[in-house]
Amino acid sequence: METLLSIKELGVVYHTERSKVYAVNGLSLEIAKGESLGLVGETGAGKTTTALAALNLLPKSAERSGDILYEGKSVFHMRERELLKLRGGEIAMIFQNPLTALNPVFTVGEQIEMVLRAHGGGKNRQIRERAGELLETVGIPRYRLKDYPGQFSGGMRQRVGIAAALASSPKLLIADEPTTALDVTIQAQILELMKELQLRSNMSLLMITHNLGIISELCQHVAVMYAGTIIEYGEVAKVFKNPLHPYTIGLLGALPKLDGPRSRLTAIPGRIADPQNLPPGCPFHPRCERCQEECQSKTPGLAAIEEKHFVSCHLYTKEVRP
Amino acid sequence: MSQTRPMLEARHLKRYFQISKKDVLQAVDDVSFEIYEGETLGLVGESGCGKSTVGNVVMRLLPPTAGKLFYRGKDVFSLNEREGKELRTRMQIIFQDPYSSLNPRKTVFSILSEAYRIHGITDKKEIQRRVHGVCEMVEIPQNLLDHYPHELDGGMRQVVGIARALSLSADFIVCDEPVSSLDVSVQARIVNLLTDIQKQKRLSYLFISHDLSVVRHISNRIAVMYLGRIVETAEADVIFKNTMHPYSIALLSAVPQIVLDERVHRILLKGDVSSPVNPPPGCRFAPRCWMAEERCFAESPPLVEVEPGHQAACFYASAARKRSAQAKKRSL
Repeated sequence: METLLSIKELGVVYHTERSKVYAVNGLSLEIAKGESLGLVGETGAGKTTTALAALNLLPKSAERSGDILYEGKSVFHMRERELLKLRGGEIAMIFQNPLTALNPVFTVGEQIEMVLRAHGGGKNRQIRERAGELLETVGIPRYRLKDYPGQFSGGMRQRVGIAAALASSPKLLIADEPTTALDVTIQAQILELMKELQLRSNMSLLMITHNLGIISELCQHVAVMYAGTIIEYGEVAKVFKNPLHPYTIGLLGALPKLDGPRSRLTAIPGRIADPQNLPPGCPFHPRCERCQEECQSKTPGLAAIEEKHFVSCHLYTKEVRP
Repeated sequence: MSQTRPMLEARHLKRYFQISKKDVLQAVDDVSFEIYEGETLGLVGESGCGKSTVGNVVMRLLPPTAGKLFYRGKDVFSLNEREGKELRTRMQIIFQDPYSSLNPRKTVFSILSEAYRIHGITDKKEIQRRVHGVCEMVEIPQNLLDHYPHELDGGMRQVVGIARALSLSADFIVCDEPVSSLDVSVQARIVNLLTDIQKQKRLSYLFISHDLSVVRHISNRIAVMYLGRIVETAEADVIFKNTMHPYSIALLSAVPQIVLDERVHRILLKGDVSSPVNPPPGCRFAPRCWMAEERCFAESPPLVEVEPGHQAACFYASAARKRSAQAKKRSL
């Protein structure tokens, strides 16, 4: 499959007054056309920073290394005009909190039309017509174009956010925790909608979430992030059925299940690696029960263990080459 | 006292909020339940269903509009001030947000010792001994006692919240979404801690949460709430295997799960939760229910026993179960 977005050895360091925050550390990832990829990790893993980097939206003070190629072109070296086309045009984004992502003083119709004008344009009547169509695509009646975001419920607002994101017919949709603020029954509606839209339009999807269940239902591939790097990557079925990295195993064991026996949860000891003070070697080693000497000094690289299943852990690289 | 007597008994609790001259928000409308010693009752529902209001009413943080509450046979709502204060040592609460529920100006030690001072223990040595005892139980390292809440991570703050609830001789604790703001790996640790101390001290929990898998994990019995009412209640395993109320069926099917082999069969509910302000007569779930018939809009179904220990508030509870198996996936 053809690659749409390719992240190469991305590094992002935020500088604060007192210290440096190593948010992303040598992350590489590819998204093919039409693919849906899940990016999963806990708070502070660097998921959102990665997404913002893909749109070249990091604050100026952030120090970047590596590169991100969109259709072979470096996002970091694009000119302002190209970036305007990229953001919200080629790559659209939906955010976690649909209330703050929408402007409260414009009607939702005006906001969807803004996107249409910025990317494509056309006659006013056509634009209005298209905005109505988009709203209907996400399951909201057309007459509500005249309403303000405050007049919608949380789930409806997120639908509006999706409609606005789809307005430019993007090739890649980045969804940053789009359902975290919503109730489960509403979340189910939104996920179903996203699944449908993605299938219909052959758009690529980068789904950022901490919820492994969402990934399992929506994505083909999954990348597990820890301390700004990918520690495991592969087909969803392979990774969830046969997790390799001790962190992935820990995450799956920490989740209470909806069926089967209720066994004690396995908690991962310690706390999430501090991005201001990353441990040497494997960033997970202070919490890892299978930590060896090598792990404390040498950073493992992402290695293929089976077809379409990669892990970054010394335990496996050793087994592969005896 | 015999085991057959519940530790906590709520009878027809109501809590209405008068939000304007003619509008009444019925946050909790006729909720009854009982909790036995050493037992966890999980109260589950979506935002706005009234589950936290139930917790607050039980804790007397909000006065009830109507209804009665008994703790070990004592009528909780008719106690005088002294008895009320006394009862606080037995009933405690853990809040959702460990960031806003701990005083940022106080050290961990001072937060944990506050309860002793309020309840008349003044001897410094004794306070210190007790604080250290509680810390040992929940594994708060001694060196954290001089720290302020902002110096701790979310998980540790929640542990402090738990320690505070345990600092007196509480045997009943309301846990109001205690793990909702935590990451999965931290959440597991807190859930394990709660179950461990429950076993150790024979605590009873009213565990309020929107997360079905966490509630299933920790609860003996579960009550599902919708718009101020309990719509179904049963043993945890029963309610998940033999779900009766259409809302519970939809709620369960909505949870995204790691499913590798089969496709998930999902019932998608239409629209949003209706408003709890001046609700119309009839079943409150009827406007979103795929099984609703005329009767459901006119008459409110009572919570009745459909099998031993399993109650549901639906005219078609047993039919819902059968139909849910065949129900076609509804699209938006």
